[in-house]
Amino acid sequence: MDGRVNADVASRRLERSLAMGKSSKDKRDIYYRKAKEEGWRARSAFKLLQIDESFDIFRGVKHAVDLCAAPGSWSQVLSRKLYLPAVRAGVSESELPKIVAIDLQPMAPIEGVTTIQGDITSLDKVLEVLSHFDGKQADLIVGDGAPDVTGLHDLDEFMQAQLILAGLTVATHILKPGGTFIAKIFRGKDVSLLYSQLKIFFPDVTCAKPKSSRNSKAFIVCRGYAPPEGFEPHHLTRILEARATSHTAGGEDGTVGTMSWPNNVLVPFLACGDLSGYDADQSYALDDTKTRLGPVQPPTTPAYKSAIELLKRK
Amino acid sequence: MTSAAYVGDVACVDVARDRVVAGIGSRVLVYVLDEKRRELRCVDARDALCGGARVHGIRAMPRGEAFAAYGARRTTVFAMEEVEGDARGGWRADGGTALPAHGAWVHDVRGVVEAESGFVMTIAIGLSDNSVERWSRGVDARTWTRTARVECASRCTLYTMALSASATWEGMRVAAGTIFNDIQIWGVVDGEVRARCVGHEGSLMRVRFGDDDDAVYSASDDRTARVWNVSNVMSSGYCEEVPPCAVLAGHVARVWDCVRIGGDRPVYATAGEDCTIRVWDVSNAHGTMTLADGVANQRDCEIATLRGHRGRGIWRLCVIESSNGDSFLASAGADGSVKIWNTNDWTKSSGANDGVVLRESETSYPESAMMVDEVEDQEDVAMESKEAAPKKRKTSKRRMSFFSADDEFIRVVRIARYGVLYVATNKGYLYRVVETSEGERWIWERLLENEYAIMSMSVERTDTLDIVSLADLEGIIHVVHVSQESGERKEMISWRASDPRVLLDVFSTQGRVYASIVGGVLKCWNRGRYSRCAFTLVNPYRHRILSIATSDALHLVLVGDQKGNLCVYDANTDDARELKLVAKKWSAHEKTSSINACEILPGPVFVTSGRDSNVCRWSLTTDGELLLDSKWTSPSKACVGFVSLNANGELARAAGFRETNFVVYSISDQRQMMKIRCQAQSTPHDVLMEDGDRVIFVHRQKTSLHIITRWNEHVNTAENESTSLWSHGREIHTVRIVPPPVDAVGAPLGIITGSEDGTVMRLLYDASRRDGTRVHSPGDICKHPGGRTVKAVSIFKEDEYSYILCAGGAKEVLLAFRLSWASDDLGSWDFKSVALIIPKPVDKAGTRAWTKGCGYVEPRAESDQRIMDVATYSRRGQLRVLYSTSLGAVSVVTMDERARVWRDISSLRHHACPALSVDVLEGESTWACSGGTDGTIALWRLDDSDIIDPAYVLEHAHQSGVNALCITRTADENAFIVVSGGDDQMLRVQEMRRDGDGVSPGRVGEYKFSHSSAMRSVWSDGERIISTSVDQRVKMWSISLTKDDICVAPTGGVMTQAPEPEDIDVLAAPDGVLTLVVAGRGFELFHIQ
Repeated sequence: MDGRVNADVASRRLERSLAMGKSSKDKRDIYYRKAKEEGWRARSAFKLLQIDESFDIFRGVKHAVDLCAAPGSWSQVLSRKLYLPAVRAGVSESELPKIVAIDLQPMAPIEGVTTIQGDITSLDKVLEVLSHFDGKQADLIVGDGAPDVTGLHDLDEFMQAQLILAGLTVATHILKPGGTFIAKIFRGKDVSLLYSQLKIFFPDVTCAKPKSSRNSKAFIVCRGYAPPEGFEPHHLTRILEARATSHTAGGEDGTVGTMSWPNNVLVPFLACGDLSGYDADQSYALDDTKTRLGPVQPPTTPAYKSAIELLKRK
Repeated sequence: MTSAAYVGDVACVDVARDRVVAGIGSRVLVYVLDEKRRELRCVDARDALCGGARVHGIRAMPRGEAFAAYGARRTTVFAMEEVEGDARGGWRADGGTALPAHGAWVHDVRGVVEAESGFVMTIAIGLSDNSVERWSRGVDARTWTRTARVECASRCTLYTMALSASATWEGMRVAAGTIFNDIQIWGVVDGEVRARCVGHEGSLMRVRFGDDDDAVYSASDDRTARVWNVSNVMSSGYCEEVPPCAVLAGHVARVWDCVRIGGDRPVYATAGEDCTIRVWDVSNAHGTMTLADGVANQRDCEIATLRGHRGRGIWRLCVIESSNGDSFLASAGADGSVKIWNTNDWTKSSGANDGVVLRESETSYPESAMMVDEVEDQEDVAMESKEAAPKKRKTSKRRMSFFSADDEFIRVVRIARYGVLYVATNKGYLYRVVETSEGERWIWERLLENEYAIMSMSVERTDTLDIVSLADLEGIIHVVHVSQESGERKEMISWRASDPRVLLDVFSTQGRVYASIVGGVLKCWNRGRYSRCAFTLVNPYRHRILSIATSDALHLVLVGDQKGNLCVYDANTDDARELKLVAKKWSAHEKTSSINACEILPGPVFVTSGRDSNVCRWSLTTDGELLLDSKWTSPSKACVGFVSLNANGELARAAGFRETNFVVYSISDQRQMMKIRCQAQSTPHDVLMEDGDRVIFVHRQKTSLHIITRWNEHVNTAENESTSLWSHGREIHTVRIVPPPVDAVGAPLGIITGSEDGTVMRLLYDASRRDGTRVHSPGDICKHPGGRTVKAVSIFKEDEYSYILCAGGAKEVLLAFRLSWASDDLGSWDFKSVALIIPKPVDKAGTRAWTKGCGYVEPRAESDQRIMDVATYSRRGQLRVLYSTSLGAVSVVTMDERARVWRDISSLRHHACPALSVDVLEGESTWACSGGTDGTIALWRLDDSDIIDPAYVLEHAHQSGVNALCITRTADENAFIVVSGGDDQMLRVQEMRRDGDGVSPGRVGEYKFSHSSAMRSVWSDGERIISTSVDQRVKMWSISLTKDDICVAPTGGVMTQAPEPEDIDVLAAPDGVLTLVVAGRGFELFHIQ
């Protein structure tokens, strides 16, 4: 498919829950508190940092893209890991790493990050990224977006997969061979299909579970981008659909993938982050001497905001 | 492995010919609607979609020859085969024909009336990539062929899409709801967008075409539903922007569905995440074009709010038109129930109603016999008869026009029982008003013609008599005995109770007659000994006594006065003429509002209800002080005038007035049961709340008496075996099977579930029942007093008939209940639960809080920890509970049943991270294991020491959290195995060898890619393993011990219909058949041969 998935609108819903307010969460969530102390816009920053600890994803990266970036904590990580060290090292202006963040939502500026407000599924926006890279292709594409959660679990999983495939579409246009793509996944019912689709393009796919991530969330780390021989981006929809059809075809009896796995869906699991460090599921006593910190970046607007305001006024 | 039952979200409901078809999990259930009883009866169940796909929609074909069930990437078409010899045109679904999997999510299916040439049936399928495909079925009836595909020029991923009804493929229109807050209307001819419906401020969650295809209804993330007129857009030739013609704003969460229920009137129903259905009549609304207008018009437009579902919300609505013209609304909830609502009120009558009024009749005073019955709806009268089972949810409402002549007016009305009233007037007349046996009219009989006006009346019933006590203006009390059977006046005694004009009220209860006299004096006479006043009492506050309750067992009299003061007297005064005051409470109800009703419960507990909308419970200290135990405030601030007790003598219901509404609340359920709207300027007179959920209510408007009878437990709902099946509607974290007694032939299995919503529920599973009805008898055992989330339950067997249930969850609260199996007279088995230990939640006000199913609980210091897992075992016949918490604490406690508290036994110290799972192996020495989020498994020898250190620690057994643990015996007596499943998707089997008092690790077996997602639960008996994971699969494995290691091999697996499975439990029958229950979002039962 040519990927008209509108990830960015969706991502803001996720960030609604992650973007940090000043609340009693302080008491419960160590990463939430640490994030505020260290000036991250969302606790998810730690997830990318911990993925880096295990995969060393930033080595040699000159051009990086953050999809569905708002409120921008992953862009902050890219900035602090790639751009700022280079500035400190006195790298010349033209040699500085280039970082582009795309989201439908406007995002507060981050040093060294170019933000594009737009839809990641629109080809124009994707090509606009390339213009910021002086025509060079990206070494790293990351995406922490998640769709609107409806509560209908299978629909949510489907939409998340569509979001990742939209990211894959972007990757097929702008990712350098050998490049890395990182996205959030739901490890649900059909995750094996997603794995097998990603394995067409990346020989090295790992399911990474950062320590700062709550129990159910994980990330897919795809390395060594290597599209099939003769691949053109417009083939993508057909290739993905063919894989989906062959994947589900075997499962007409309801036992799809219940027993043995074909090699193309075997994706190793790796827990990232320091295991002796903080635990996201544990509450830590709040040091009373510390003052409560306000949110680094206020939450984005929910869809029902105006309805609530009007009702309140009544 | 065969699936036997699934209970979970009902994602869709629709009508196929005369049946209601609901999609539950991967299956469709076919129901017949019993219109009289408003009940759904399950007649058929079919597997619809494979691969674990959930049915998200049902669509009947236009000619009624088939219906389609669709969801995820799949569609299955069921032919509706006529059942021969069924005069009513009955049909049954065939086995279904599945279409090949589609490339995208299926959002809608429509039958095209004119099939493509050469095919017998053609359907259009709307897909989430904003495309529509045409599929046709050949003559051989099994094969489907895709004959066309149209993609919209605007490509995007959709959460919702609707196809219009159309005779031809070319005429088909598409409404696509985007996440860019608009609806695109396009035709399949060219795929060009012809109109954009603009105005929503959030993603579109549902779009529907109206019956005439000129209207589109939409529901959105922005908490509104909107109606759009799209009648002319296809001809315009360019893309038009369409504004909404109605905005329905009022839901307090996302809206999931919107349907039109009105015939000619613009009446709509919406349902959403806030678990309400709202009914809107937009005929009074003008200019609802914007959200602001919609919010402003809410009061005019929203004519009813229907409650009854629980959990995550209501997914779908559908309208059912019955053969006799009645209309109903079916709602499909996340709580696993389909509820039926009568909509005649809103679609037929002109005014707004708030309940089901099935009949309204009018009758009159005897002299004017020409008054006609105006029976608005000639319902089956037999249903209204006195023999009618009280469970029937019916309402009758009747009006009696009265006293056409002179200046006589009604002073008092008392309801003796269903169909019998006593009416007293200012002329001093007493009437007995009886409904005719046909229920058509009311007959008036004058029993008494008194000289003076009657001021107050009280009716008490004995087995054969109605004893009517009257107080008149002259200060005389008349007691009239009336035969219940014949209605004849048997006996009348009159005596002077006070001076003229100071006798205010008369009460009669428990064989005594009380007279309330100016100055707060109460006099009492025993029945049959009216010549001598039995006692008097004086209100120390000197206010008029308005309510009285007595308890012979406790020898107490409780009175409440006009200014909210409460007094308790000792009635145990042999000869004393004036009762001794035991306790008093000044201003027991706020703002000196009157105490309208009171009751004495065993304890003693005193219940009072007042004009300040509070129902209070008081207890008496030994120093004679009245202490407020708890206070329940009517949510709508009604003046509470009546309370009623249930059969067990517990406070059940309260009723009162608010503005012109009469409202009945269920106190135990903390919800409003019904609301009866009275006309303006009407005076409420009496209410009778019977045990069988029947409420009779009388109010007077000018000269008319309105008698309203309702059978109602849930407002406007009908529930029976099939429709009353419900579940939490939230994630189920834990499930356990309660085995029936071995000697109980044909007894069902008990199922206990604990959920995110903080409740522990029970259900029964009966394998011998018809498919679709095997799970039944749901009920709440308790609401977790710690607040949200019940994480784990464990069952401890006391004997064949009795189990102890331990449930742990938020705030480190651990509950205990005793579950006892018993059979009724008909030989059907069920278990009852009795609370043993209910730790005490914190209440901000510091008062004891009432918790459903738990009673009153004492406050307790709040814990920050959450119990993650619970296991039970026996030590010297005593119950021990092992639990782990989110701070890594692992503890053993025991139950002190007499003191109703937990006693600490041991503290198990090792984990520095949350301990996710525990399990215990009983034996000569008891072994336990616990797993942390860091992948460590600790082994413990439980010996009742205060502090226990781990016997062995398996560091990094898993890369990430150990979600699942099972410890079990093997053939080797000196060893046991620990089966663990982790977040890292690995299944691990570790042998531990006993070594004196310690253990040492033995052989290991690992299966790295056991599941494609985090494992959640494992069960093992030493030879087999059953595991489940978030990948929604249940797998079976065999364990074989070889010389050097352990071989774990898969032996079978199945996809479960319960998404995000979290827990499993297994019951092995003596014949080797395993019953497996898997719980996640809903739960599914399997039989494993």
